[in-house]
Amino acid sequence: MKKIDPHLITAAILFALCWPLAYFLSDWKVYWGLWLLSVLFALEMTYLRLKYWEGL
Amino acid sequence: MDLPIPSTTPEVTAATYISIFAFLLISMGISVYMMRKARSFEEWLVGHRDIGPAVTGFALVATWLSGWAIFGNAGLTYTYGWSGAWLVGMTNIMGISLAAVLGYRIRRYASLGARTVPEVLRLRFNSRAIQSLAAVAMTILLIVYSVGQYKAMATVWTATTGSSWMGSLIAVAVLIFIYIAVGGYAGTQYALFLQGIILTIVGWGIGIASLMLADPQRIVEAMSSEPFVAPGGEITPLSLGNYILPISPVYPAYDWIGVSAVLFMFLFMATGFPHNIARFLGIREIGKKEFVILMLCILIGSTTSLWVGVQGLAARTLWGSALMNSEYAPMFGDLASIKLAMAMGAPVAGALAAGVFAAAVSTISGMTMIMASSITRDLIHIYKPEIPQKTMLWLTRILLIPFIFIPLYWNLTGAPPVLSEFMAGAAVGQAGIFFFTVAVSMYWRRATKWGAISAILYGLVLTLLHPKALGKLVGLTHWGVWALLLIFGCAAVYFAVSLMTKPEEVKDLFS
Repeated sequence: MKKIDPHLITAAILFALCWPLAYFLSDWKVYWGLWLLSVLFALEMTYLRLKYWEGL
Repeated sequence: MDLPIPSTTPEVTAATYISIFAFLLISMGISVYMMRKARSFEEWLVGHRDIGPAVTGFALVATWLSGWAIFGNAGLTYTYGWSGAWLVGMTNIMGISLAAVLGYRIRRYASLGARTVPEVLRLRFNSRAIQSLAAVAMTILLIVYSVGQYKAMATVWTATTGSSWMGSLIAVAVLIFIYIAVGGYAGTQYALFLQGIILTIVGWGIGIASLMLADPQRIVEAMSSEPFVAPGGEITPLSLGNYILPISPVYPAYDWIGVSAVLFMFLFMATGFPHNIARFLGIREIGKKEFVILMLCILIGSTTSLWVGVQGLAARTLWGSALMNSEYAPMFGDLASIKLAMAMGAPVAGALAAGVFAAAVSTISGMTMIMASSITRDLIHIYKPEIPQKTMLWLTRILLIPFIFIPLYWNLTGAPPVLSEFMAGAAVGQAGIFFFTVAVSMYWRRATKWGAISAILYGLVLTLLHPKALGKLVGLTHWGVWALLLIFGCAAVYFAVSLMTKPEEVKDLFS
């Protein structure tokens, strides 16, 4: 069985963290906290694309 | 109330005209230049497939950040407070980064001759039926999505020039028609780049200025005491201070089911938007460093929607619920952004007008192009390939007219009161259907055309069952339940039917 890349798991965890962050925090902490999680998610995605780079 | 709500002044009107016409002049210049270079129907659709990462990145930002993001988001937070922020897309960067990462593979299909997203499906599944079905589904969903773009721009036009609602809508429609008919894809791709930069600067600039004007702490205090007021002025005792606002089940942030649906919608919808993923049809082959540049453009640009959300919170802090009164119908809270810009001065209002126009025009042009070319390329050309390219090009241009007229008529007869909330309906449909049938199919070899066709049909039926459409007939009254049923239902149907049907021989497009 193929091993799942840990960075993909990290990206999934970052997405899953949206719920507790919004549930336990309030106002600006949620607003910009979710943005921060999104940026970290985007960095993971970029890393994965570069790691498994494909041309044409 | 610190600042009076500004009214239209000759200075604001002049600033709007100057900024929009300057923007149009530059965009049209690009389009005319590209039109002279586009000698065939194919070139008109995708250019010369030589577009670089920064242009593609900001063009993607421009099609992604529509009137919803650059304008409607202020209306959302103004109307619903913190709970409106879910539809602002606090997590929208997750979705757009996923789209950029998955969408890059579409270039392989472009090299095999795909010029539209349904054509990608034909090549993937070797089926003309799925190409046509996808074209029909895209067209239906994009028409609904276009309605919100018109409202965004017509609201700005009305607020800054004092024109009638109908006059503003017609002005917007005429400008869009000329703009797309002249330039085609390459024209829009380069003009989209310019538009992406403009709306990023305007959104960030006015957002940061609004935060300073209203003060972050005062916003928190105001949201905890401001009540929800329905469009038209009906005041409720519900506070805007929470991320859940119990208004009714048809509102996405009614409860955690709705919130979950919004999070999944934003994760999938950027990839599911055909006008987004089509940006990669014209990109040249790029290196790793260039891909990082592309992602950086996307990160900076996509944060803009949050700065626009800040504007709505600031406007609510400064003016209370005044914009929800019926004297501001049918624009209501969607006026928050432009009124705030007008309060900052005529040049700022002019800049916002150009920014909103850039966002609305870019998304509408991308979508209208997709709709018109879907009919000609995906419904006519595949069955009648002998029709000359020149005829196809002209036919596509003529088809722009109905696709511009339908959303125009919709806004004239029944403009949605909160545009972003309205657009979220079509967004869920696109997220559910096209994330799986297009993006996943590019990576999952075992997908079959029957799986994809079933998912498209299921998604279309569920779209019709939206709680504010036919959903009530079958007891589907909760937005979150509906959205989750649509998105994950599409996924379940797509995977289950694919696995149950015979594997197909596919070209080597997966390694």
